[in-house]
Amino acid sequence: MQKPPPLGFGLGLRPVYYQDILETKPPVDWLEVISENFMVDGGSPIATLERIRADYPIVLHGVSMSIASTAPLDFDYLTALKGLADRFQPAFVSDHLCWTGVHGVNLHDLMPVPYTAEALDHVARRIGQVQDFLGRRIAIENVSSYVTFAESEMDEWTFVKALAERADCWLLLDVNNIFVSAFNHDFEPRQFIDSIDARRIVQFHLAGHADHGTHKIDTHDEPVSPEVWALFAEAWRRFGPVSVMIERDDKFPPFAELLAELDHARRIAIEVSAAKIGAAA
Amino acid sequence: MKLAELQAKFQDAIIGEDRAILEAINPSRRLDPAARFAVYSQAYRLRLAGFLSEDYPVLRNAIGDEEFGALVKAYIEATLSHHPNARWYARRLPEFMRATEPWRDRKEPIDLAAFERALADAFDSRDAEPREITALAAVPAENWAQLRFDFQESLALLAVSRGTVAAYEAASEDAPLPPRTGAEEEMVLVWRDPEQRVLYRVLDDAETLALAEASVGKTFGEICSLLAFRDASDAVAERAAGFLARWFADGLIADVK
Repeated sequence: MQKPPPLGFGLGLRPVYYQDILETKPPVDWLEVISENFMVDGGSPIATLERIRADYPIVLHGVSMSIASTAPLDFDYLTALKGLADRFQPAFVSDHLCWTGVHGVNLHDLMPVPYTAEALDHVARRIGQVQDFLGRRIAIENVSSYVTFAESEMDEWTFVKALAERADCWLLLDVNNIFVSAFNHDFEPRQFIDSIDARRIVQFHLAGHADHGTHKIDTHDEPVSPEVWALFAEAWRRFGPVSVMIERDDKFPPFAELLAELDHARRIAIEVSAAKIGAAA
Repeated sequence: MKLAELQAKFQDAIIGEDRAILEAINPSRRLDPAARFAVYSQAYRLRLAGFLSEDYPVLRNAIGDEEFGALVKAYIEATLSHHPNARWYARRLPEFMRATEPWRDRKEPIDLAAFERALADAFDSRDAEPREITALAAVPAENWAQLRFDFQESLALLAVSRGTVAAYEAASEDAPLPPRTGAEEEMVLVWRDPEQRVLYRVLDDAETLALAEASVGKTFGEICSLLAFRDASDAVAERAAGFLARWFADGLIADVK
């Protein structure tokens, strides 16, 4: 099981930053692309991505695969995704451990999954079908959640670890999502990180969240919080080096601020790696 | 509860009033099941409202936040998304306005919405390499009357109330809307040029006729005849050739047959 090589430190490709990226070719190692934004017939989105792809490696990151839904897999969607992957040759393709709708409806949100044996069987089988169709392993991301279900029979991390084994897929570990869910559901985030098989992790997500006192929400509209940076250091110690990416989807700062945040991630990774080497020596 | 039942109940609660799903949700130390679930039901409406605001910023400026908010709320309650790409959710807003009180009788905001949607549609429609006017050089002059033209998929011809384009331009700049001058319509051409810019211009009656006929496959000769019928003058062929030259220059023509 050969993991894709780490891409380094990347950012999300968002329209508000197209001009910065095209004109200044910033020191970003790679870019994560929201797959659905480019599932269009043509025009500016596709032309822009072609120009950017000429200079940067990309990862295709989807929000609508709905891998945990009990609705049939959407093969029109998967065909479009395969077409994008064939055209733009991403380092890998990822989506979320969630469902986005049933009965023909799309809720455009990452809906939570009950951690049951039934759900595990169902999602693992569907990941297998998707991987067969796309002809590649995909990476599945843990989501932030705001409810837990009485039906759940295991912890989230037990479910995620078993899912990766059963489906033989990669994992995209969203460090902020672990932190948000840990607060909302009163678990220790280190427990999640310590439980996952390092051989499955191909990418980290970092992002900001909103703190409502009684609960936290994964908003991607703030800088990465100090607690999430600390958890990232733990994750890097256990899993690094893997591809790292900072997500920003609202209250967009000047691009230079995101580059500075990415440099902070690099510094943490270097410090943790140096400490590991020192300890080993 | 089986997974399929849980998902159906969860979705029903997000879309509507049924709260049967709450029995399956654990409380947290700080929140009861209803408050936890509300994160999802509120986020659903906020996200869809965000799609509408992104696609119709000028309509929002034109009718104001309060009326736009009421329109968005009504649209969301009446309209489910059935497409994985959020890009398509807001497409039917002009049709919704045409069919729904109190907007159905307000042609000006409806036309503004239709114009804004046409601009969005042109943005990511299918690409086709535009033909240069030099494509005509290979055609003997005596065969010009039989020429037919294929146009870019991005091309749209919209009949909107007169002043819609001026209102769009004013509202884009947050400027006061100019007074409307009457009940007549103006014909607007929307398209995407080879540099991927979405462009538009208001057409006069003769160019509207010529372009409408050309885009449904009429020959250049037929178009000249229609123009001559409409406006008896000796300069019809020159006028039609002028339209044709401009369509080539604008990158509108995808093929010549």
